[in-house]
Amino acid sequence: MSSIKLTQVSLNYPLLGAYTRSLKQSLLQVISGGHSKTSEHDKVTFIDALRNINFELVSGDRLGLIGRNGAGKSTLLKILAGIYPPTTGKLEVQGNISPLLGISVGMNPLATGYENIKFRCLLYGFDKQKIQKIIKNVEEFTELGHFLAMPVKTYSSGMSVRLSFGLATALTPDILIVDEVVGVGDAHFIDKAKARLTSLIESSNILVMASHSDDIIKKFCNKILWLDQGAIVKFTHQNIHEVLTEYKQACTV
Amino acid sequence: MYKSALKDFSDALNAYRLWIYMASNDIRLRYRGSTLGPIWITLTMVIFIGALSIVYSRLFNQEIHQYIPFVTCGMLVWTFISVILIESSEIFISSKEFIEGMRMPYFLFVFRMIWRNCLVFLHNFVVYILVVIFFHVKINFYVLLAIPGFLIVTANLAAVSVILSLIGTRFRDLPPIISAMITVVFFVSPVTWQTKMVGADSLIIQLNPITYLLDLVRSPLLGIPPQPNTIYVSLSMLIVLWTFALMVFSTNSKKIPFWL
Repeated sequence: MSSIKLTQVSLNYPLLGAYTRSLKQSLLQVISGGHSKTSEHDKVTFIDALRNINFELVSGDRLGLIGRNGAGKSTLLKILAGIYPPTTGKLEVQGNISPLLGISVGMNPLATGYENIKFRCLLYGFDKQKIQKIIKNVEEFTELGHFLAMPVKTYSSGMSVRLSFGLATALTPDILIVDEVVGVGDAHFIDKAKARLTSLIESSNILVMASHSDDIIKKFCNKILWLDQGAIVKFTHQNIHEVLTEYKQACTV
Repeated sequence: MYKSALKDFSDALNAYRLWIYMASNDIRLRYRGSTLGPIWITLTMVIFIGALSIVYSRLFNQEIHQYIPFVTCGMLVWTFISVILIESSEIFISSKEFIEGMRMPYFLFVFRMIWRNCLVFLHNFVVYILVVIFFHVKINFYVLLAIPGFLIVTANLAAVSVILSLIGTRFRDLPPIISAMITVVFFVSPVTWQTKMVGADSLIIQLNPITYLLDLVRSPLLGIPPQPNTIYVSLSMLIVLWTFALMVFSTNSKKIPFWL
């Protein structure tokens, strides 16, 4: 039984690499919509990325995460995936997590497709037999053929998405966390991806997906979370269509 | 207080199959497309020792058949030490895609780097074996002491790499600083010259941690037991370094993804 529970989670993190106070300030104002705090030390700025996030998901939930760029969607997904630790609050997760947070993250670009598949499998502690099964599974799904024996950095973004998606979903995770990557693939890939997601969902797992595509959210999600400037605007399982429309309107204002 | 650090450490140990595979894969990638492959590692060592011995044996007025084994063992250990120190500062930076893509214990990257350098050490060890054969180095049971000696050296270096990796991720100018210092340390350490040439009670030798690390592995490989001092110093260093490493790790590991 998988579950995710966030209690008063906030994330405040240092942003390095900014030097002049004013340029840094104005950049931050634009990107984060006015939510940044400066410490006395000139070079380090802290970003309030997420503020007081509370929600719960149980087995069978498929959460669609929406919000403007810079709202904190990717940050929230990284917290769920265990990559960012929350600054305050509690995160309770039950179940194996398989993250898909970008087109070529989670992979060594210098290594081949096969080597990257093996890395992921070994991280989860799978034995030789299971690794072979997963390799076959990924080969079939991605249809990458002999490209799998080439370094990942030679792949186009479409190919990388097929590999990352195929790999993240081949591992039959309890919790799948996806960040807006599905849109990168072509129509053929999107069809296959949808079919794959559907079968995953049927094994009563949790799906958390950030997307700008209404179509995908309407098709897959039973709950919706609207983030804006690091805080929850709406979290509901009812009237998802209406929330999407409201969000669209808020964006065009 | 160190609970999360120890958990990270044990998670990384449990994932041994992954970092062992990654380390050998790193070496394979490095030599992918080259004619000789990893044999280059051994070959470079042979060339370096050969060139060094021809000049320095004259310089220090040493018999070449005694000098070459000495320098070989010294270079074996020095290469191990120096490359680990240099690579440490970049282990998280060079694995950015992994760290940002999924949750992995940070110690995994430390173990991967250390194991990779152990594999290089094994490649270079072949040179030692060749030297033993060609120069009729007298081997006795003291050679076996090289194994625990090597483990102590590795454990010390692992602690230092934890500290350097964190500093190096936060402050990106650390790698060039380390490289510059390494060159100096090479010359003031008894790698190409013997301690008795300077006088064993010289401060440069006694205050230099490299002296002890060299002694732990080189002396047994040459059939001599390490100095008694060496054991005390290296074990004390081990405790101090690991205490410091765990402390630095506990307070700072959470910030790594934000520093990348």
